[in-house]
Amino acid sequence: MIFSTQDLTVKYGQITALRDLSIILESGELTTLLGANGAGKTTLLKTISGLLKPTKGCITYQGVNIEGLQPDRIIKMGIAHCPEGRKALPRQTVYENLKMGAYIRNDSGVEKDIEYFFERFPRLAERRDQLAGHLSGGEQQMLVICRALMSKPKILLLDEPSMGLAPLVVKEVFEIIRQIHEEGTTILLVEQNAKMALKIADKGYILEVGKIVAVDDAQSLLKSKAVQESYLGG
Amino acid sequence: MNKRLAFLVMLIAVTLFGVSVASAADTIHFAVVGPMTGDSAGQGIQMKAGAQLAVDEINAKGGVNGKKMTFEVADDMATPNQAVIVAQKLSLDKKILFVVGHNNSSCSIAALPMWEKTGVPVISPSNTNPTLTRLGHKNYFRVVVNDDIMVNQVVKLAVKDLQVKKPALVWENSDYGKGMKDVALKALPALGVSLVGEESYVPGVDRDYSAIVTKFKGLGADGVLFLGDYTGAALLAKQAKNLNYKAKIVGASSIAHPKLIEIGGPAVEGVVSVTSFDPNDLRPKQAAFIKKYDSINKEKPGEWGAHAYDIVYLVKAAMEAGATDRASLIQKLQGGKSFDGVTGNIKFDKYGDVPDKKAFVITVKNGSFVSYKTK
Amino acid sequence: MLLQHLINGLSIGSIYALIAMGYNMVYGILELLNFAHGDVYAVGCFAALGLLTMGVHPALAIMAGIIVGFVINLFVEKLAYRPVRYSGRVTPTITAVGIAYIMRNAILKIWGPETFAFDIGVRGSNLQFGGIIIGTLQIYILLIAVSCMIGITLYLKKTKTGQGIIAISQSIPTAALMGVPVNRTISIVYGIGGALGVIGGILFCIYYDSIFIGIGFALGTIKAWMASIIGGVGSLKGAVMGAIMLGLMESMVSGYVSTLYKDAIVWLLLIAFVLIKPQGLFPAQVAEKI
Repeated sequence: MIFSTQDLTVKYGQITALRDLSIILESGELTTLLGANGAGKTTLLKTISGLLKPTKGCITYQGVNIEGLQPDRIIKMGIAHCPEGRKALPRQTVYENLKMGAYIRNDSGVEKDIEYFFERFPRLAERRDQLAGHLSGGEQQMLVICRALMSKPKILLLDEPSMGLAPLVVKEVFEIIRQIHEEGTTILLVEQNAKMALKIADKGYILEVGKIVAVDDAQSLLKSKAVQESYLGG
Repeated sequence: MNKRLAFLVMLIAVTLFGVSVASAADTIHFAVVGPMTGDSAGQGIQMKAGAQLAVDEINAKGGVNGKKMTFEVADDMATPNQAVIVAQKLSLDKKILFVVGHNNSSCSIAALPMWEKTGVPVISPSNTNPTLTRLGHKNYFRVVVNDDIMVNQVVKLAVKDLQVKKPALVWENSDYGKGMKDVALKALPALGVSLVGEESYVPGVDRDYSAIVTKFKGLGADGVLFLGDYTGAALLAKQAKNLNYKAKIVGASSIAHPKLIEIGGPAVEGVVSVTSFDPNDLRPKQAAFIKKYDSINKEKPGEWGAHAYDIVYLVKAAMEAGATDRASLIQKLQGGKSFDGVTGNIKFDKYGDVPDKKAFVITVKNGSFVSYKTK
Repeated sequence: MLLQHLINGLSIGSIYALIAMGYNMVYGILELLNFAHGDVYAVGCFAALGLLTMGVHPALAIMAGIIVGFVINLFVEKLAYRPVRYSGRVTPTITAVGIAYIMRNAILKIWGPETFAFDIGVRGSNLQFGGIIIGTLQIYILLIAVSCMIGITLYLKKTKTGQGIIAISQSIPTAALMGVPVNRTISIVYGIGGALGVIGGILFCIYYDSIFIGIGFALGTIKAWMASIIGGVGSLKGAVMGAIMLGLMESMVSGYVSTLYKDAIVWLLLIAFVLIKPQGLFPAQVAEKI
């Protein structure tokens, strides 16, 4: 167990977004968190990465409590959060975006890593000096994932990477995620596209109105009748 | 129940006002109202210093009819609306016997109706807009010669003494500046010269006179009549020097302030000004006053300090002649009795003007004001 | 005369430019109409004046003034803006006005309301070309303005903190997720804004040999704001170009129309600009927009 939350409760004013939520991430595993809009998936990721403060409960990472720390502290500890809606920095170039991903690093390998991603994704290399705002949705998603990886995270939090992308592009993005997983990064993937997520995941949680209602290995969830009815379109 | 309430109200009233009446009885209160902030603050500060000197002297000699004098200072920021606010507040203060102020004509124009409502005598050390005494305010007096007289002398000085052939004019955009400009526009043709250029500036805001200088230079103006504040005059002189423009600068009393030299430095050498007070006056009474003022304030008085000083003594004389409250003070001042102050003989006409007062001419030489001999 | 008017306008414009740059740094990040900008840097200028009158070497006094501007803005940001950073736009604007008044009154309390001579012992000489006079001081001011602009642009483009600033200006949460220390970085932006303001303010004082309280609001905040409207709000290049345009406009209108209507005409032109080019002449080129 590399990471866990225990009895995590998060409130927006009077509204409780997460209630006593406990999850566990095993090192090197890809865990997916499924749920409808408003279930609290994004809230959970924002709380982990320090953008929101929990009202109760704790978050443990490598044996240390990290709840309530500032985002820049948390990314330095090795948790990178790829926010939903492809938050590329539109007024900076592709290259500058990648470099921003390595903001917390002070080692000399940054340029080498940028070149590595350019080699791996030639489409980004072609657009190296273009503003990120001019990229297509799929390219931006690619860029944002690479940017998160530039911080060399141990845990990658992905928030709906398939949102708003064409089906072919979604496939491509999931292939990238699968590869990152294979390379050994622990991933927490939040998705509405349950079928695709479960196909590449090791384990799945189902979230409803701020509460975990089911947890199982991904294969079992794929076969579960209840999950099929609610999330896999029958 | 009602009776008890009425009693309570009376009790409170007596406690509140009774005390203030009691304290007012053995002290004479007045107010100095002028610009204590902003570009002409140097003038307001002089008013305060002049009044303070007079009050200290009077109190040291036992006061007026046995009563000590004391005053408060209010800032009208040289802006008419602030002047009205100050007037509104102070005129309701029953212990204020009279006001030394305002410094700016525009402030007096705006605030006089308010002062008049409660009959406060307002005596200005420096309002020079000619129309001010023609507005029918019975409570208003000024101890300074008005712009009609002043500006006519400025124009005459430029044309006759300095031999300016092609004058240009800069006026500050205020009631004060506009009033002076109108007088100058009438006076110039009478002396047979015509203006080649006329520009204005916003006092307290505009800092750049290079456009004006460049324009005047292009027009070949050989003299600049500066009808505005000392800061403007100093900056104009500096920028004129930077742009190699050598016209003579002649101004009205509002520029005859030590700050002109402090800000303008070598650039204001040779600037000539008409003033109703000469800080280098060598007559014994004047010289003694100047020395004393200088030793306290580390600068020689200009007309603001000197006039404020005179006003306090003028009121003292009126009270010794029997004035006891606002109304009787106005009556005594209107009485037309002549008072000999450091700034000359003060005798109000029926409008509250001092038509017989003499103006002086001074110039900047080697970094200080010296008397200028007119032809 | 036309050339002389152009040169006069250019000199005033370069001073406005420095002031507007600091203003636009802050606006670019937080879209906050920083009404306190002028009054904050005025404190820095007056601090320099205070040291000058105490006999401190002008270079040291000016450096100290710049540092004062930097430090005050750090505090102002922490005390007045940070607590209301996410409370919409109106609240920080109001706290800014509050800060402006506090600064102004601090100056009044310490130095008083008068205009003071500001003499650092540098007397620019005049270069003559035909009838045209260019002060060496004017040339220095223009050079300083341009080098500050280049310096800031390089700082934003080439340093990590600079890139962090640009990231924050696009999205505070996204920047935070990449490890940009948001509070510290925003403080730095305010600090630089204040320091740039002091540089502009002091040049202003040197150029006119005098200092008064109005260098803050009337000649600082308002002119910076006008320059930004003309040039493009939130853009460095826009701030500089807008400021120079403003200087030229003022100088031309004064020279060829009338000083009496200068402000009215310049404001009319400003309104025309807003109607015709609401983004300004040089709308923040997305890449260089801070």
